Amino acid sequence: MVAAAIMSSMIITSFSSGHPWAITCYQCKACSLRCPLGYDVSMYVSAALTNNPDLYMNAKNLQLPLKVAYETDPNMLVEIDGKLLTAKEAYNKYNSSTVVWVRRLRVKDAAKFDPLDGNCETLCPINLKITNIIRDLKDDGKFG
Amino acid sequence: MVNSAKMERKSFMFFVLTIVMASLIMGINLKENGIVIERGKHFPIVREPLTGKYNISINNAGIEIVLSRDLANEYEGKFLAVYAYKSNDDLFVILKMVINGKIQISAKEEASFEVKLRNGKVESVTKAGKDVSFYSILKYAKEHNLNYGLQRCLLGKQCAKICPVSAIAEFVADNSQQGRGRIIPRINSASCIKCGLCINRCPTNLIVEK
Repeated sequence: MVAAAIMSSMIITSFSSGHPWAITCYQCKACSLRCPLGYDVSMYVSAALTNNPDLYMNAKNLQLPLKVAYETDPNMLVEIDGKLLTAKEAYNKYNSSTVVWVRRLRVKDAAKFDPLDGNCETLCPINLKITNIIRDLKDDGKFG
Repeated sequence: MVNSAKMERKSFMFFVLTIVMASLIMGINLKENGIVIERGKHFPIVREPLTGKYNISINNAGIEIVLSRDLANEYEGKFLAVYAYKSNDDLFVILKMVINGKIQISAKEEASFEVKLRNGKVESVTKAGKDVSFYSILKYAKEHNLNYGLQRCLLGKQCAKICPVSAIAEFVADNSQQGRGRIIPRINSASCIKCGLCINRCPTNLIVEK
């Protein structure tokens, strides 16, 4: 009964996000291997599954001007001179035009900066349309 | 005993009902996101190379690419691909965002992809191995007179995937003097139905309407 309830709630949230196929993802993370930005791409699918674009995901190769990072999300985790700090802390210490490495950001913000190249999809063993989620979030950061 | 069997049956029915509803909603969703194919209206062409619109300089700290004003206006905050050949059939690519009209690549940054060519056609695109410094490859290409530069194609093959008639079956190296080995999709105009889906899907406007 509990399992059915959990399954049902996951199905309901994935329906409400508009990407019910997200439930078929088994988190093999093959998509993440190919992402040129070093995103943990499976988090896009997790966000669709839970209908929560505010989940945080890791990134390795995304660079942004500090001002853009701060204005996007003050809690975004950035790296400057080998130090990890939030965008808010960095904004108070460094010049706002400094280009920083982004290490952790919300799924909706990741979608905003995503190049939509679609390299992540090419390795998915079950051909999930991950770029559909990204397109959905790109404009307003919301599902649907 | 009878009660527990009833409960199991109930939860099973609940699960089946949810799956049926999921299928229905998925069907509606697909219908809403359905793509309308208009034949014969949008003739796709591959845009001209970026040669002459940027300047690449290499120093000990890394690579700096300064874009012309037009190019910077078009691509500010967006991604372009920097490529460098290691041999005639092997090139490395790194995807970078244009920030303040420039692309900067530090000496330590790894390449995003390795592209293998055979007879000028892309045979494979794989994740570049770890510790493959793009800086060293571009430097090598410059020293050995191999092609390197900036291109629009991000190698995700989105255009090929969306084409309903598989008119974009291959990606090739543009070995013209202006092309300088950039990778572009080859559009088979004989089978193209001019639906324009590739034009809409290309994230960098490499494919545009004629």
